[in-house]
Amino acid sequence: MGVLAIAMNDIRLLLRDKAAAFFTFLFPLLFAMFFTFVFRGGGGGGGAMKVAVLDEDGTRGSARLVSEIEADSALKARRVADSLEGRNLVRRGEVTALIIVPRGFSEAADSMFTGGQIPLEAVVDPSRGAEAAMLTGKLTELAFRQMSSAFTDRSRMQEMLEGSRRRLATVAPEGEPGREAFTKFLDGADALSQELSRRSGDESTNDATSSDTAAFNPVNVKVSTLAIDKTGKPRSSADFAFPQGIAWGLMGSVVGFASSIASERRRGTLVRLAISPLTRGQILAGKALGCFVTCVLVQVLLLAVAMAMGSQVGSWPMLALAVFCAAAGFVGMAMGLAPFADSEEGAAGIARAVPMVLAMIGGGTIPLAFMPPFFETLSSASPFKWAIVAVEGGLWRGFTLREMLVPCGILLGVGAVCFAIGVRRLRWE
Amino acid sequence: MLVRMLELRSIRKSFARRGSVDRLVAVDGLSLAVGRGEVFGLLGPNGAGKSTTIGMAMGLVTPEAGEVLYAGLGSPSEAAVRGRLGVAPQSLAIYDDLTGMENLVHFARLYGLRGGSLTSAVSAALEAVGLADRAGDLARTYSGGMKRRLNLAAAIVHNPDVVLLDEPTAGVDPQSRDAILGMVRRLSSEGVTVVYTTHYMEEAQRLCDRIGIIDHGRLLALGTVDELVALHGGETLVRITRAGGAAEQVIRTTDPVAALRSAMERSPPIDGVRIERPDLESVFLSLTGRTLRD
Repeated sequence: MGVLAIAMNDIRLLLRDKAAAFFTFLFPLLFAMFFTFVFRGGGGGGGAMKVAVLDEDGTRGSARLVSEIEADSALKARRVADSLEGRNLVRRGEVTALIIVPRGFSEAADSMFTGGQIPLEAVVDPSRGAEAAMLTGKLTELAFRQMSSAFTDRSRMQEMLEGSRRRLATVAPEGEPGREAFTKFLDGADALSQELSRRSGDESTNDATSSDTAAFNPVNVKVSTLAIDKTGKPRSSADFAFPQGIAWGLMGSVVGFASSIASERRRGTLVRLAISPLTRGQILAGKALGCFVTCVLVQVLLLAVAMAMGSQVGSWPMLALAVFCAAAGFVGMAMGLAPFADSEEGAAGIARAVPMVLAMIGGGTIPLAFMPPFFETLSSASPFKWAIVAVEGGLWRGFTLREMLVPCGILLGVGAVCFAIGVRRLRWE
Repeated sequence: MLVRMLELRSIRKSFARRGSVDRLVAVDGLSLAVGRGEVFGLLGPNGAGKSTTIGMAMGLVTPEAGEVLYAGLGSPSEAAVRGRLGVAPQSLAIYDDLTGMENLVHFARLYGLRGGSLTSAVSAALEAVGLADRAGDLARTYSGGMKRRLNLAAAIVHNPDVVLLDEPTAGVDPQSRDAILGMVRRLSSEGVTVVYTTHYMEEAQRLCDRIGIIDHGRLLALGTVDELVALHGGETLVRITRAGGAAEQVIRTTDPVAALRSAMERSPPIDGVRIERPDLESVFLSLTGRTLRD
């Protein structure tokens, strides 16, 4: 009976502590649901990587590839008219990469039997490495699919073989042995094409990346990074790693501040502040200022280390604006969290969970492209995401003041809303 | 004549009760006035409403009804009024990770002290509570009694006109208790008004010029110790034992000297006498039917 009484009392105490109950029951549930959505694609077809597509070739072949890119469920493509537009989309972080189907694409595709390589270019956002790697694989797959379709499209194959034979005919006499070998190869390819064309009525030949073609690499996907420094060299990896580090640092400051309010309430020093001649607004302003200075110092420290590791600041005024807005936004968030940390234990729970949740929905743990579409919408509410965007905007994305308005506006807006909620709900005793 | 410094006018405060629509009335229409330079004791058992009353007096808790007024100053909801109050909350409202001096410097700054006046005020407060020699040590290294004294020092560092002390001697060693009580007497002698809550009867009896006894949020009696005892303490008990092992004789009287004189005239001769005068405990018992420690 006594054992039962102890057990029941412990459970009752757990349920009375709202923060502890949340992290014991609700948080694991949310966590599990999050990964369930990620792994099954949220039941809505999964997330898709946003890309811009530029068709510089303007041929039937390039149009076919662009259509395939647009139809691919793993990609969410938007056509752009020129390279500048596409690069700006990447720079602003609106798409992961710009895919360029370069001039001469079709010609190169037609000459693949005489050593030509299907050329594709991708200009990727350097801060989204995981997604860029996936894109390279996807483009290779799509290019191979072009080859495969060439084999099963008899008339196109005929065109390609004829073109190749014509080019072989122009080879100089000293290249005679090679010409003979290629002529035999072309004859064989012709026979293979006839056979595949005959079967194509009932067989799929799309698996162009099968082992039969494994040693054959006629696709050349040229990936370049968007970011280059003032000297034209690729930017330091610190440029891409530190903004995320800064966001984590800001989260640490937020948690520290929220915990300190809980700690002051437990100690009674919050009461002493409340009965001082300062108004509550002044007290909260003092608290917020402390948090703000900490947030700024964290960012300055990390940026200094980033610069020591080779990072170059693109625009000091924009970076300063980003640092200010990120600090202000996170101060608001800290104030919003403070009332929910009734005890230091509760604050510790928040310390564990909130950064994780915000990083999760902000793309800090799993790239947003791998998440269900609604997470992308949800991520727009994560200051974590916007702090990174703003700092990157000042550091290397080359944001203009107008482009900074979105991340900075969201940071300040979320901060103001959270601050208001926190001030309203804060208990002083 | 009482020059009013603090006035509580029919103040009331209730709190929501978990799992009940009824509210817990902590203070129920309490009215009293405290004079300038007076040490006023608010006496009552735990849960009587002392801390809520003090909370309203310090401006931390807003009364649902009634008002709190400081003569010549106004309501404690005004920041300027709070600047003239010194408060030692029941909890040890100090920073363990700061030294005693750093704590006082921080709190003094909240009251606008700067420069030389800040330094001298902090030194004086540390001296007053006997912590000058430990001023540079972290508060976390202090004993419970020393922390209480630092808590009190934080209440007086800015030389307030009124000091509100909520159970300032709870759980302290006798040495610290004596230091705190001495401090309160010193404040009073300097003309500072002190409102002091406690459930230690002997402390209130030793220290307070007047006492208000509250229970269930209501003021049951108000006056000096002698007045309260005379009005509510009941009769003095004279316990007499006589030679030869006779049973103890208990006489209830308002005039113990006359009763004793009369007893001495009878035989057998008196072997021992014990006079139990009524005190605040008996006042409280008579008013509430409970003892102060209930």
